[in-house]
Formats: sequence, C-alpha cells, structure tokens
Amino acid sequence: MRILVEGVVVYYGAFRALDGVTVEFQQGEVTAVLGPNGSGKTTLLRTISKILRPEEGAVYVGERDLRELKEGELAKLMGYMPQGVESRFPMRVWEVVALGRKPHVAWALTPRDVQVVEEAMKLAGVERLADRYLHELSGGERQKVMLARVLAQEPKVLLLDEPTSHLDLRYQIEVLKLVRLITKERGLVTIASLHDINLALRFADKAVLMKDGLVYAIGKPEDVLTPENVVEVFNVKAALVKNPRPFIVVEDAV
Amino acid sequence: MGLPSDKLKGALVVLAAALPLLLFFASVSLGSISIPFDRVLSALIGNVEGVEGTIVWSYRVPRTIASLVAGATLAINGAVLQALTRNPLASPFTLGLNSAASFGAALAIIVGRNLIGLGDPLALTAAASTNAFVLSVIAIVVVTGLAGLRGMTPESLVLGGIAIAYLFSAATSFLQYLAGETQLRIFVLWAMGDLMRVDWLGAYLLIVALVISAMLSLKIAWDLNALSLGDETATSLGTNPRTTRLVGTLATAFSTALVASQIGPVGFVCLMSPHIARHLIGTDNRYVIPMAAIIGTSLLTIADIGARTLMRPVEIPVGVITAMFGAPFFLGLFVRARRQIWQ
Amino acid sequence: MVKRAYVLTASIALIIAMACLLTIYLSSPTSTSTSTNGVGVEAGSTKYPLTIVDSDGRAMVIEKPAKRIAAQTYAVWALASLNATDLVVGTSMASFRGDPIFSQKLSKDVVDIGSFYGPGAKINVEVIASLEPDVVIAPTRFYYPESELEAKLPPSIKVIRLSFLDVKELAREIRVLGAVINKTEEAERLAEKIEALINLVSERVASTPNRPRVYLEWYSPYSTPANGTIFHELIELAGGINVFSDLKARGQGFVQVSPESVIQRAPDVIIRCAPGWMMPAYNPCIAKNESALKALYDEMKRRSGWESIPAVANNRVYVISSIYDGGYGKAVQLVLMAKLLHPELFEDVDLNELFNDLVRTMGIDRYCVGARIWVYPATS
Repeated sequence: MRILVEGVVVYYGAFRALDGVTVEFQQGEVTAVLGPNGSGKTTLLRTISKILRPEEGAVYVGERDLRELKEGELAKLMGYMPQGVESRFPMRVWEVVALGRKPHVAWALTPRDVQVVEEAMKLAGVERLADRYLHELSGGERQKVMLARVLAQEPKVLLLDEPTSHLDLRYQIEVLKLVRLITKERGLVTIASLHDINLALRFADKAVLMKDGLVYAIGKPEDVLTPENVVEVFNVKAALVKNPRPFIVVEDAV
Repeated sequence: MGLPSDKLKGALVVLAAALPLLLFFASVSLGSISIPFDRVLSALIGNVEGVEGTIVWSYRVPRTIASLVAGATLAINGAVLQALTRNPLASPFTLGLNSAASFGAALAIIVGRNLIGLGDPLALTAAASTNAFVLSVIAIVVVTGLAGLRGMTPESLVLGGIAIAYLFSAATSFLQYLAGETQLRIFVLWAMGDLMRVDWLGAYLLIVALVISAMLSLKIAWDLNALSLGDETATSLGTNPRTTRLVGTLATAFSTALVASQIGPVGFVCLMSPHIARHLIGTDNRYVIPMAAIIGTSLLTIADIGARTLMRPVEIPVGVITAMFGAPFFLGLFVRARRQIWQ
Repeated sequence: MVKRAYVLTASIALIIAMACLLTIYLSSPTSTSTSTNGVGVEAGSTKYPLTIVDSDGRAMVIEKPAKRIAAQTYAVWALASLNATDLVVGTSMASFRGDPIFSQKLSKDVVDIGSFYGPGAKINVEVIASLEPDVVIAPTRFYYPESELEAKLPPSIKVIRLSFLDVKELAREIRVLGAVINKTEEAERLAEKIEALINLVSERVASTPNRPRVYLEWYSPYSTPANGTIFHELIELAGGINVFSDLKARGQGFVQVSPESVIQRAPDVIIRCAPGWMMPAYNPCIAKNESALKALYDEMKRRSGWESIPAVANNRVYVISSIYDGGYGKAVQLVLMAKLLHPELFEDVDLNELFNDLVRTMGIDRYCVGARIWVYPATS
C-alpha cells in the first residue's frame, strides 16, 4: 500500500499553501517532510489526513481516492498526531490512549481493545503512567502518550506532525527510534514532518524537502539535504559532515 | 479511584441510580404540608381518597416526575455542551438560552404578547411558556448560524452565545423597567425557575426533552470523547467536529428550550452535574453522561424538596435554591484548584 | 392732668383688648362668617373654612375648596364619581396607562407623581411641590409613611389621608371629599347610596349562619390576602371566611401560599381577581368578550389536584375584574362578593344594573364600549 499525492493545490483562505504537490510514500518507510515554517509541511499532512480538502489534484490511499473514503473508514486506516496537545479536561493517560480505539469501537471496549491499548502504552513506554493525569506529565511523556494513542488506532498510515519539537534531546531520539521500529515491524507508511534536519538524516528512509508550497527535492535524506539545497531552502550556509553518519552543520545565516 | 475498567464504572453508575429512587420517595413525602408517611405510601398504591391522597397523587407525583426528568435533561445537556466546546464552564445557558427564554416570558407577562397565537394571549403562564420556547429556538438558530459562519469552532459558539445573551438580557431589563408592579412580580417569579407550573402536558414535554437529550448524547458519546483532544485529532479519529457540534448544539439547545419553557431558566444544574460526574468517574462521556444525569436528577429534586419545605407553608421557587448551591460549589472548585482548568 | 392720662390709657387698653378679643373670636374655626385671610368664600351651602378629619384621624382646616389636587389612584376614581376629575393635576399615571377609557376623563396636562402602593413605591415630592396643589389626597399612613410625604412637602400643601378602600370608612370619606371640593350635595347622595349597599349586605348576611370558606387569589398565582387586609375584611363582611385567615399580613398584605395548602384547606368558593385596570382584555369597558377572564378560570380549574377542592367540584369558581374598586366601587364590590357567596340571599339584586350605575356614576358610561363583563362565569 502506498500514499500518492498528485498535483495537490490547497488554499488557506486566499493563500495558496500547496502549489501543486506530487509525492509518493511507500509502505515500511519513514518519510521525513522537511522545510522552513510556512513551506507547507503541516498543510501536506492535514491534506493527507483529509482535514483539509485540495482545490485541485487528489490523494490516493492504495488505489482509492481519499474522497471516496468515509470518515470512519479513514480513521481505521490513518493515525494522525497533530502538533501540541489540547485538553481542557483532566484526562488520565489510559483514557487518552483508549481514545485511539474509537474508530474500531461501537460502544464498549472489548477485551481485545483493552489489550491493544495496553500494548500501545507498553510500546510507547508509558504503561507506568496509565493512572496519571495528562497535565501532570512532562512534555516528553505527554508526547509519548499521544504516540501511544495513535498506535492504539492500529493504523496502516502514521502521520506525525512535528512529533519532536519542544522535546528534550533524549525524548527526541527515543520517540523517533520507536517510530522507526514500528514502521519496520508493522510495515506502516510513516510520514513525519520534522523541524530538525539532522533527525531526518538519522531516522528517515526518505526525505521530502518543501519550499513555498512545492516539493523542492525528494530522495534519500543525504541526497536531498545537500549544502546547496539547504542554502536555497533554509537560507543558511551549511556543511555536510560524516561522523561516520552524515549530519548537517549550520555555519551561518545567508 | 484508579481502575479504569469499564466494569467498575458501570457498577458505580448502577449504584448511583438508587439515589433518584430514594429521592422520589422523599419528594412525594415531603412538602409544604405534613403528610404522614403511611398515608403517602397508601396514596402511591392507588388509595387516593381525601385531601392528603389528592395532594400526593395529583400534586406531588407530577411535580416529582418533573424535577427528576428536568434535572436529568439539564445535566445531560450541560455535559454535552461542555464536551462540544471543550469548556468545563459551558452550559446551554451560556449560549444565551436563559436570556432568550426570560425575554419571551417577559413579552408574554409584561407586554401581553403571545408569539404564535396559541391560547389566550393573556393566560399568562401558558403564553410565557410558548414564548420562552419560541424565543429560545430563535436564539439557538441565531447562535449556531453565527457560529457556523465562523467555522463552528467552540470559541465561535461561546462568543455567539454571549452576544445573544446580552442582547436579550438588555431587552428584558428594558421591559422590566416598563412593567407595572404586578406584572413585574409575576415575571420575576417566573424567571427564578419554578416547578409549580408543570402540569401533565408539561410533564410529557419534559419527558420528550429527556428522550431527545439522552438518545442524542449517548449516540455521540465517543465523538464527544474524541473532541476533547482537539478538532484535528477528532477528525483523524473519524469525527466531524462541525457536524457534531451543529447537531449536538441544536439538539441539546432544543431540549433545554423545552425544559426552560416549562420550569423557567433554572441555573447551575447543567453546570454542576457534569463537573461532579467527571470528578467521580473520569472524563469518558459514556459514563459522564449517565452519571451527570443521575446527579442532575438528584440535585434538582433535592432543591425542589428544599423549595417546598424550607419556608412552609410558602413554596419558594426552585431556582432560588439551585442558585444557593452555586456559590459554595464554585468556591469549592476554586479551593480544590483542579489545576487543569486554570492552565 | 394725671386723671386724663389714666382715662386715656385705660380707654386705649380697653380698645386694644376688645380688638384682640374680636380677632380671636373672628378667627375661631367654628365661625360661619368670612375667613380672616380675606378670601371670603361662600359657595353653595358649604361655608368655608371648615374642619375635616382624615382617615388617619387628623383634623385639618380647609380654607377654601380645593381647585388643584394631587391624588392617589382610588381618590381619582372617587373624584370621578363626584364628577370632579378636572381638579386633578397630578396622580399615579401608571394606574391609568392600561385604562384608555378612564384616561379620557383626565386632562392631558396631568402629571405623574409616582406610586403610593406596592413594595419600593416612590412618590416624587418635588413634582408634587412644583404642581402647587391645594391638597394632596394620599392613602393612609399604613400604605405610605409621613416621613416620605408630609415631612418632605412644604407646609402650605395639605395632605389629606383617604384610602377609599376600607368599607367602614367609605361613606365618611366621600363626605369628606365632598367638603374638600365643595360638592357636598353630590357627596351626600353618593354616601347615602354607599351606606345603603353596605347595610343591605350586612343585614342579609346576618340573617344566615352560613359562612362559606373562601380562597381569594389576587393577580399573581397563589397570592392571597392575609388577615388584616382590605380583601380579608371584604370577605368577612360579605359573609365568608378567608381560608388563610391564620396568616398575618406583612407589609401590604398579600402572601404567597403553596398549592398544597390551598388543596388542604378545601375552600367552598374560589374568587380570582383579574387586573382590569391594567389590561384591556380584562377591562369590562373595553373587552369585547369574556375570553380573557375565561382563560384565567380555565387555568385555575386545570391545576393539578384542584378537582378535589369543593369550590372546583361544585363549580363555585369565579373570576372578577378588579377595576374602579375604591369609593363607591368598593361598595359595589362588596355586594358582588356577597352575591357570589350567598346567591340565594341576593336574588333580587341585579349586578349588571349595579355595574352600569357604577360606570354612570364615574362618568364613563358613554366611553364604555366593551361587553361589560365583570364576572366570569356570567352572574347577574
């Protein structure tokens, strides 16, 4: 199964946020969507998850047009983790993760549902926190809980919007390691927008570099994140260093 | 309070359901007149002779049913709206409903106008009810319309509601200023909220309101849960936030309008019951809604018992008592400082 | 020389003394000659100045007939029954807003002075003072305190306290009013009519030991007169017993009772008052039919549990329109109530005739275009 985005144009009001984007995402691969703020990363993810509708172009899930898929069906297929966590009510971790079962549940949670929830928490490393309130947790713990929620959905497609911003370095690595592991184990299509290009270099199979609503480059991360591309897209002078893994060292603003 | 298992929560709800049953008996036994308990019981099983039997059967039973039903309905509506707007302080009344209902009643009582021509325009109580209902419906439509223009977000609903509330409240103040003494008194008594006015037709309407609220809220319970993490997450979980909010608001507001038309704008029950329910049983709306219903039923019935007994032989309007619950409740909230609400 | 001085002094002293005595004699209020302030009024058979006693027992001198009066609502109705509404310069306009019929009797220039009745009632003393009335006719101090009225008005404005509500005082108050405005003949005729009606009721009621138990509901539901109020007294004089006579009046006397207590007290007769002076649909001179009164009647009969009340079961529920019920109208209301409570004792009394006479006496007969329905169900 793959996700195909073909010639998609999306508007925010009068602003053309995606200017004709075409890109394919494959099963079993972690694809990082990169680019400066406003380049359209979040918009792309929202379009794939059907939160936004394209003005032109289409999104295909497998062979099916996204438009054909009903909300309920889509929810079983795709797990979307937005930036930030909103909750005005004091929710317990267990309740939050259990919410991920909603697309599969009619009313009551079956024993299997409970099992999935517990496994998801274990996978994300938050099972000790099951009884705690969400707002009592640290930023990193909260992010892991949200990840557990997405995992509990048992999706085939994982859409993660900046899953690591505002996290400690340690959590950044933990979360992305986990994401990569699950992607490989379960053969998911994982699309993650990332702020930090070095994390992409380390954890992603593919990178999609965006600029001004268009795809600037697609390919393996080290092929996409060349100093030339970095200058063009991020307006910083950088050098690619191998240590032995490749990473970008930012030298100066341009 | 730790085990998140569905079974325990279910058991808790069932247990709590005993409370309204107890309160039913308390409510028909107590009132502005003392009636010995054995007479009450004999009246309940059909022995309705005599003044006391009549009072129990024809007056207290319908009134108790009204308080049980209305309390549950208001609580459910409050729970749904709080979930829809992600605001633990929301209630149908913050959508402008009680101001609109009061204005409708003021039109009937002070100006003497019945908006839809049913019955005699000067049979004040009936006119006040129908007007209150009609104006409430108009208010909902306007508020949801306004909110819809701005994306049907929680904020737009709340803002629209506040605007409408102020509008009608101002109009009502103006009418009160113009009113003669008697009309003013009748209106003020109406606006406090009173279960005295409910007749058998009113009781049927209240039951209809409860059915609407109960059925709708349970149907969208999972959607309400999904909404608690934000509109985007909700969408990804298969909920349409706009549609859910539109349908949820319209249905609960309609049901609240029915209740307000029969008993006036009784406040606090819709606000407090879901709060207390969440404190006892977590934020899963599948449990919050029934639990809130039970708490609302109990609150309103207790308030009504108080209303009928505290100043015998006079009966105080029930809205006075529920308002008295309000202050300590909110102070309590403040003191316990559930941090989440203030973050 | 000295002797002449003595005589001169003595004569002057004597003259002065006699002048003083004459002055004292002449300014005595029992004098029937002209007053010493020079106005010297003599109109009809009334001689001014005269003394009256108001309903708070205060004696006061009326120098001359009052030409400008600031009056309370019931006094305005009483003035109408003496054909003297042209003397009104100020009154509680709120009472007349809902009665376009009667309002035609008041001049366009009549000014609102505020209200005497009800909690929070306020009279605007500055407005009264600015009207420069000869007298202010206010209800008794029970309704409105001196501290808010006489104490705040200039002493040149006389305040006469007449309620026109207490049955025992009705005739006397009409006579006092007649004296104040120099219409003693009309007042006397009216007072005699009032006394005749009151006596009629008291005699016939005394002839039977039957005393039906009455629940009277005022304008708002479950509002009923407590002991010590005008309506309580009215019920008793009409030969009934107020079922809530054990409740003492607070303030102006209507108390809220619970539906249960009404059912428990099982009244034989229920009387509901509709505010005819406030709402045209209840006003007998305006309303085209009885539908508004009937609506109140139906609402009462529909109340849960009320079927068991004797009054409801025996069809002795009445809705009466409350309007012009001060002065002569209060006596008429007494007869109405007596007939509702004891129909068999008053078969010869035609209520419609009586109401028509009331309306004629008030001078609004030609404006009275409504169906003239004062009671529902129709009772004559």
